[in-house]
Amino acid sequence: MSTAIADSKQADGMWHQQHISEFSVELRPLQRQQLELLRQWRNDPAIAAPMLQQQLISAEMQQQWFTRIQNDKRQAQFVIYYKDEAIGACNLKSADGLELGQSQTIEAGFYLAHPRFRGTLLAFFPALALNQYCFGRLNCKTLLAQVKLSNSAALRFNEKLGYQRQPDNVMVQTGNELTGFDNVELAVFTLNNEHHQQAAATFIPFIRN
Amino acid sequence: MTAAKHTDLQISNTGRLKHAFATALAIDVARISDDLAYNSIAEWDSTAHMLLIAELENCFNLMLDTDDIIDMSSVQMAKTILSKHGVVFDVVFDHATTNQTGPA
Repeated sequence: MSTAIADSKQADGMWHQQHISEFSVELRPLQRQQLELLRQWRNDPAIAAPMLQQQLISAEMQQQWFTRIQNDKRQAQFVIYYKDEAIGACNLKSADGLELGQSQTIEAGFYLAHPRFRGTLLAFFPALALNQYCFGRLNCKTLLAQVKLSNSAALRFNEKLGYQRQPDNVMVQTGNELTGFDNVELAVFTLNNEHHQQAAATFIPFIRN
Repeated sequence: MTAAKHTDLQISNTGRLKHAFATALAIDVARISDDLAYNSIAEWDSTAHMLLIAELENCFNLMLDTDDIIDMSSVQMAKTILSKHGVVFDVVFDHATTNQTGPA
């Protein structure tokens, strides 16, 4: 009976079950019933603009994506909550092919969907919580972030989090045969634990409730 | 007499608010208006916002909660939020203006 319950939970959610509560926010593992909410967020032009893939995501595509990744231990998917309200999403992906927990380099990504919080100080809190989890619990050595050169807000955002911009940008190809291909230039950032702790210390006095 | 005290306090709080903004954002007091908004000028970024919160808390001897910090998106919103904490601004200031332009 208990096994059935555990299997049921596994089938409905990501392989990782741990909730992360820090910096005034909670990161909860993505559940299948939240996919439609995520899809609506992700298809919002304001959310999609900084992303590499601009293609509209259908409900079927979203379900297929979740089925494909929900047991992939090289990545973690979370929904961000503030005061028990879902406000955005974030994820971690191993950059060296190893499972999270063994991976030395992890790429982090996130967005805030709730209009009240976008561009505010709260935007830093889930990123700080996610970074703290990577260094404190997953024992990773380096976090990696890649940002479109055109996304000046995200470039500044990463610097405030302690990320160090690498000298060389990378070019990636986006799109598909239907929509056509496009080359996009990305700035590459890396973050180590020392710089994360320094950045976090500047925000900690403003973590209140 | 009481009104005069309120007037002094009111002008003082408005001035203190502007001074706090000018200090935190490192801009001239003349640039501080009610519609000045977070991220609308380069000087009011996230770092300056944290300095501003610290400056306002120190200046008015209060502690803001996370919602206050998030919602303080303009000078006008700062007045609204600080008013919630008992700091008095524009209403009394308007009275002071009325008093000054009243019959001699």
